[in-house]
Amino acid sequence: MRPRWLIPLVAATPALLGAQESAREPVLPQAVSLETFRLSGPPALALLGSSAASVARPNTPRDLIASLVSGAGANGIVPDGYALETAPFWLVRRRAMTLAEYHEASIGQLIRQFTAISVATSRPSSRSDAPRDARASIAIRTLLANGRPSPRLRAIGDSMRIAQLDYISRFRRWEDAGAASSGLDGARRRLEQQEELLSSLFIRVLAGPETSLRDSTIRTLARRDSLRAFVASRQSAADRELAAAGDLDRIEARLETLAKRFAAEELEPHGLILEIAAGGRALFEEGQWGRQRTDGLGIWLTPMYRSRTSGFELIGVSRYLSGVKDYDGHDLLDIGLRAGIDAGKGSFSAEHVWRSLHGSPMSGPASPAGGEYRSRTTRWAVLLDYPLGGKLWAVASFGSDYRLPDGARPVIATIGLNLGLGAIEIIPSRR
Amino acid sequence: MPRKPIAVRKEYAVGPDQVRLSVLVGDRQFGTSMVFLDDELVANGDIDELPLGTGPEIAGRAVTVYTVVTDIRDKKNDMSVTWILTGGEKTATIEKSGSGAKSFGSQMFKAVFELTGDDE
Repeated sequence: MRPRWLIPLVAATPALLGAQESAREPVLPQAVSLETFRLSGPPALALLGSSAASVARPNTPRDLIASLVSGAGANGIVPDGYALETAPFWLVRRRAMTLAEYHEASIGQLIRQFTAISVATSRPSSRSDAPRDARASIAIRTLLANGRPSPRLRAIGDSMRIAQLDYISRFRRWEDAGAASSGLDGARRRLEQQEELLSSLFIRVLAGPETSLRDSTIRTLARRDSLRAFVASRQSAADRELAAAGDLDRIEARLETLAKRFAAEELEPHGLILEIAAGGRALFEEGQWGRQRTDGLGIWLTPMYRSRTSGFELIGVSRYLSGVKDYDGHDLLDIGLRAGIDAGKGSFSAEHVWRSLHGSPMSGPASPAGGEYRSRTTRWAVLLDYPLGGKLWAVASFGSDYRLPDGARPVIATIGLNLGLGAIEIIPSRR
Repeated sequence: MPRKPIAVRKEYAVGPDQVRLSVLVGDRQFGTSMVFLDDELVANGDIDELPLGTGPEIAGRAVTVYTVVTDIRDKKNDMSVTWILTGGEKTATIEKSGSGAKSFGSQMFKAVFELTGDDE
């Protein structure tokens, strides 16, 4: 399954969570899709409902300490826009870990290897000069299952192995040729000397009466011929060495390309993948570290299944978020399922999302628009995308959106183009 | 021009038993090996407990192991190779570390083990 279908066609990322300090202007419920429920970044950031410009990902203890010191802020004030995620297991070098052990990790090893801790802060801007409240969150996520290497990953691995064996064979040739070409420069110098001596001897033997130099000339001639053969053989080896070096450069370039593809494909294992994440959020009055109170929590459970051969993919998402500001501080439970399958060059997928609000009055929670959300509602959609060449994709979706406060259910019907930079709607859905 | 290999040369005292060789490519990197007994190719690919021969059969010969490691990790390009020889008088574990010249680069590791017997 291509990741292409993650495009934000209908869904605008909803500003769901408490850290959004936007003015309380009337807003309609926004169309959301299952993709927006998944954790695309650190869960601590998702708890704040914000996206930091950059997330620090220290992978050494030294980097971690430096990042934490810079993120602590100054004068006891919570900084704005700080985000960090780190996996403790990988903070130290793992010399003994082989690739096979990594791919065949037990559940205990998975938890050790994939547990990541994230922290994030947010101090939204305010129109007044009053000190701004800040929010900070801390979260943890891990994998309980990580599938198996995909057939594509295995194929790339096989290609890498062939290229590496070819590299070793040619490396040996390069080594042998290098050894065989040693002494070439010295032999060349000696050959030049012999050539000069021979030239001088020829002139004296041919032009003068010094017949006694004839034997010396013949011996020099023999030495010259021997040196010529020696230099020719060393030169031939040097040529082979140069050719082998060119071959090695070419194979290295191919290995680099394959390694990049391997690293990308490794992120898309097949079989069952199960991620779990949880975290808490706190409010810091006037941005002071010392004046905090608990503000909300979030839990995500994301099972996913990719078929080994058929291009079939199934994603389930469930998340529970408490104290969601856009829902007047109520708790939100989203459960969704998405199935997708490759169809020729394109792909086809369908999803169904069930949303429930909790901790609400009997009549249902009030919306910021002054109307009422239903305490339970659903959304379904089918999506098609098809490559048109290059980075251009045709995309289409059809379905039924969440029920609006007035009881209406907007139809989702869009056709668009994805230029690789995001989606452009040609026929927008009615919201 | 290829980078110089990260090289190791050691003597290994064999006994009467079967000598075996394992090559571990660490740091979660991707590596492949070729093993030569003198100039004869003995095995290639992943090397795990490869039987080289009994001590009397291989004493006086040299095992050369070429291992090329390619960096497949996005943020780290640490590399290490461990050679383990068993079946001789002692188990020998030799490790060498390095790093790719660049991200997703490759590095050659070369180990030569001269197999010595009692009479040498």
